[in-house]
Amino acid sequence: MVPCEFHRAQNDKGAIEAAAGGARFLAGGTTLVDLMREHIERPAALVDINRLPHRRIEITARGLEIGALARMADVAADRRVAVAYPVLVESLLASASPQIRNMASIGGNLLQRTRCTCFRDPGVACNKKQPGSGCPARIGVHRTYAIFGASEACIATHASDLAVALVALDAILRVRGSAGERSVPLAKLYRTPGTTPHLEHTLRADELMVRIDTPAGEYTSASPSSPISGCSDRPVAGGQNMNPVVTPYQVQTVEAALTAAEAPPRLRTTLYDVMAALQTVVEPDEDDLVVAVMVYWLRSRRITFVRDVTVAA
Amino acid sequence: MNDSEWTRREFLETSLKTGGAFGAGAFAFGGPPSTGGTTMQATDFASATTIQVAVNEAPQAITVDARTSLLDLLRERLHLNGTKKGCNHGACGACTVLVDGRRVLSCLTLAATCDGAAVTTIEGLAQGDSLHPLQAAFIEHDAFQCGYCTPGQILSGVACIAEGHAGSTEETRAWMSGNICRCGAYPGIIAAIGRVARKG
Repeated sequence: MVPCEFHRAQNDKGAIEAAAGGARFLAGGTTLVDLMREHIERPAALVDINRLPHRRIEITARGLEIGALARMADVAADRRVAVAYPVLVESLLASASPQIRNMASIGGNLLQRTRCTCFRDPGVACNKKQPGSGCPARIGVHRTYAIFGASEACIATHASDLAVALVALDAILRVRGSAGERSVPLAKLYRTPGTTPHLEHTLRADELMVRIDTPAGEYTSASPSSPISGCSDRPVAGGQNMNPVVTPYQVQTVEAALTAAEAPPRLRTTLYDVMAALQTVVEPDEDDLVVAVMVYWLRSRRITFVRDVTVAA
Repeated sequence: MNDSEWTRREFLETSLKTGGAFGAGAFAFGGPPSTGGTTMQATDFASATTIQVAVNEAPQAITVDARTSLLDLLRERLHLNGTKKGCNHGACGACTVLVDGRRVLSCLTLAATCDGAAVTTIEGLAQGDSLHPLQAAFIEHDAFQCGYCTPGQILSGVACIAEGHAGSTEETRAWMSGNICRCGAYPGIIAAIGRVARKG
């Protein structure tokens, strides 16, 4: 790591001021410390936000409110969340390892870097690290990289399973910065790479995420998580469920091969659910076929995204 | 800061003060440290932070550089070499320790964030000459070959049992998935954890 200063925030104001002065927020550190060690991240200063009072998990008449500093493990172990929002618990338990889930905050999970192995390799060009330097990932082994929402400049994926579930549940972030507090729908947090893949989200550098609100909905307690198994070549246990997308998307309509019971016309569902339903009709080693069908559907407009995306060439 | 702007002198100074791989070289030249490795004190660093931390129930005040991981603090400053450095980026679990009773990866934990924390390492599990039940069960069930991953496996196993995630073989395997064993001693590891979990 390159030398950096260390500050410990006693309150939100102190944290926001430090960030306005160039410091990076440090919560669980599971992404930031790792990337600092590889010299991919080189912050001049860190501000430790772990003492800030944003760890509460509450269910109200409005829905679920999760403090941004609540740990992944704490949300996954919350019985109220398991009953009312099972998709969140399932997506959390599909993520990383027990140790990392004990460390990583929910806010940090949502704001982890969109990345691929080229991004992580200090000796390899990458448009995210150095805009304009190129994207060798496009011609390498790229089976786990993005298919939807990618661009010529970048095919890295966002690794959060939780983000997919929260986008499906229309989650809204509460963020606090030097310009005041505001709400940001999670679906509007992430940018697609386009020609500027180094810009990953829409928060300002001094904006601190304090809470994630998930409105109560008709289907939330009945929504399961359907991760795509076998989409990763990594032998590491846990965290195998790579998203084939740059940002978590919802799919607006499905009018194709699914049975009527599973998918009535003009169903609004998640990309995960569509691909999981497709997986039930292919052999276990035919994930590539699922992807091929999805690309065909997308190009033939049988499915459309809630947000505009382009399909990688 | 661009690496190429560094002088050799700055590089060596920084390496010595932050511990890690280069710290071992310092010992080779200067002999073993007498008490707590004075060559690695970081008190004159702009980014130095003093933390109060209880390691295996022994409270102490330590000044660390911002970049020092809990793993490097334990191994290079406190000479508790039982905690192992495997991948050093959060994938293998060899560095697992308990912080305030929760299993975490010490390689991805900055020591500066541990102010006020209680840390338990493999050295803190036994009571005198009496092994922790899971340590004894690892021996009984032949749960290791080379032994490099074992301290992390045992700390993770202790937490896995305490969390109530060692009910069945399948559950234990899923909740021990953060610890890799390259020798493939998994059957023994799962058996040892199951034995201790059933004993209560």
